[in-house]
Amino acid sequence: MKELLDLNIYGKMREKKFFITLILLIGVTIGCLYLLSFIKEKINLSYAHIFMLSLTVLLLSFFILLLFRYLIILILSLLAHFRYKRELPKEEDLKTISIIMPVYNEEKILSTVINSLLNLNYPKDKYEIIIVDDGSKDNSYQIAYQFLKNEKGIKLKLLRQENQGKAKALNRAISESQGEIILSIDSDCVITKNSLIYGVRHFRDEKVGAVAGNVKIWNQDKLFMKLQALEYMEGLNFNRQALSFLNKVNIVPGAIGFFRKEILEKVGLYNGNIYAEDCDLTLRILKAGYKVIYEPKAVVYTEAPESIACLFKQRYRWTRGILQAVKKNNHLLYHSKASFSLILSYLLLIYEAFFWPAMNLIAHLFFTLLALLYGFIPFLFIWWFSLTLLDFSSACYAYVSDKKSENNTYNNKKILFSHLPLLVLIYRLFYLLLIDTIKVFAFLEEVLNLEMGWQRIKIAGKLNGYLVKEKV
Amino acid sequence: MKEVITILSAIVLGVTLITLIFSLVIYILFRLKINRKSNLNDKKITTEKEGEEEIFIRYQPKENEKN
Repeated sequence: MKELLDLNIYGKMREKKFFITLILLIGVTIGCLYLLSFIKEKINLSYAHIFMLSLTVLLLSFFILLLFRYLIILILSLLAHFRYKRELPKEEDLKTISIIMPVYNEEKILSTVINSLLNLNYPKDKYEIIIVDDGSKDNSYQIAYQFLKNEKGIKLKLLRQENQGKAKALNRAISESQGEIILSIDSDCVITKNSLIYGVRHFRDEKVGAVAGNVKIWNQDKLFMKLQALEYMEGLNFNRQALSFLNKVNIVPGAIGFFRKEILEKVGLYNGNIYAEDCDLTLRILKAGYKVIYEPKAVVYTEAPESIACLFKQRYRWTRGILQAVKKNNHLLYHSKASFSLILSYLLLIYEAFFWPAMNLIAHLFFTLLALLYGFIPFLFIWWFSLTLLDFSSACYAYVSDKKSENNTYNNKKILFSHLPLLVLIYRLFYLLLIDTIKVFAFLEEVLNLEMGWQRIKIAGKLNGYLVKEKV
Repeated sequence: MKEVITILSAIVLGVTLITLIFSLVIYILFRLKINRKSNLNDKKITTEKEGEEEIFIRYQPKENEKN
């Protein structure tokens, strides 16, 4: 009854806010039209000039907004950094963990991944591993089967089912789990030794519902992968660290995410209808009022796509998935208990997934047109140069901050500080423009509801070198 | 100084144009591939597979549990 009443109240609030937004939009449109005719009369400008002027003002406003966003992220990230002074728990206080891992056609690196799970620095009787083979067509199941005979004394459960998708495989594993904490991990990721201890320490706070880990790129041997590594460091993890200060991290990545099991059962498990099931689940946890934080020292290494086509597939899937999750959880904005920080975190998700990429693309097209039609080349240069400066400053901070989460792992191909200036130049000039274009296409397809598939990404199997290189 | 900025601007403009055209081409190829795949799937005769389900559990008890 109470739930019905709540729904009714939300429905009414939603209607009210919808009408207020509609009235505001109509008001702004009338105001703009009035301003347009006023400018035309007083200054005697043509409509083409007014259009150019308005677009310039608009882009300038977006640039200021971006500057503001960088500043906020930097300050929050610094504050979050000082908060990570939390002590590690004593052995008797460690919670029981179920590591769940869905597997589909991962024969190339599966043994390395399982080996990393069996060699974690955590009491052997306090964690179990549940592997769900989701109908692999290669030898993944046979490889995982061999590990049942491990002599480590760790409980290992191997489940096999017909191919039903990642979300269903994860839910199946959760239903078989016995730990208080669930660690979901991707089967193309290698986990570092101390990740469990660092991730679990936050769960002493009863209000913590989930902890996002730090995803890093292992195969940084080519420029293209180095650019992706920079994006993970400066774009994804940097944002997570900042939002962590507000306890409102908006995506707990599927690659490494810790969840309190009772909360997962309360908010509902993974949703198979959404391509970014991790984002959807995180939003539901946040909506239920729990804290979601980021732990930079809980690290997994993953393989980055080695071709542009594969990167395109990956980012297209991520963007459409995030948009689906955002759409599904939009009632969060009308939720009476939604705090300012929660709304900010939600809006940041939209900003990163669509708003900023669209603006960046529009700016590039606009300045390119100005250059080609009127010969105003420096505008494009100024736009690019200002963004590059911003990227460089945040990349320097993210680099130094990321250094502290090395977690005793050795990777001789990783980005060096001296690489940063050149890398950031190419990053902004080519890489981010490419990523933003993909995001805009993905957004348009999501709006038009065009068909999409999971689009599997090929990996080269370079993670196999991981255990050899880890320092003891 | 002015010449330097003009040259740099021209480079930025060139790379921007190439990236934009390149992204568009990649997108078109990507979309064509999805459409082709979906057409193939439509033509494929789906056969129902028998559900397979296996569970294996391995647990090495600790020394004190063995007794």
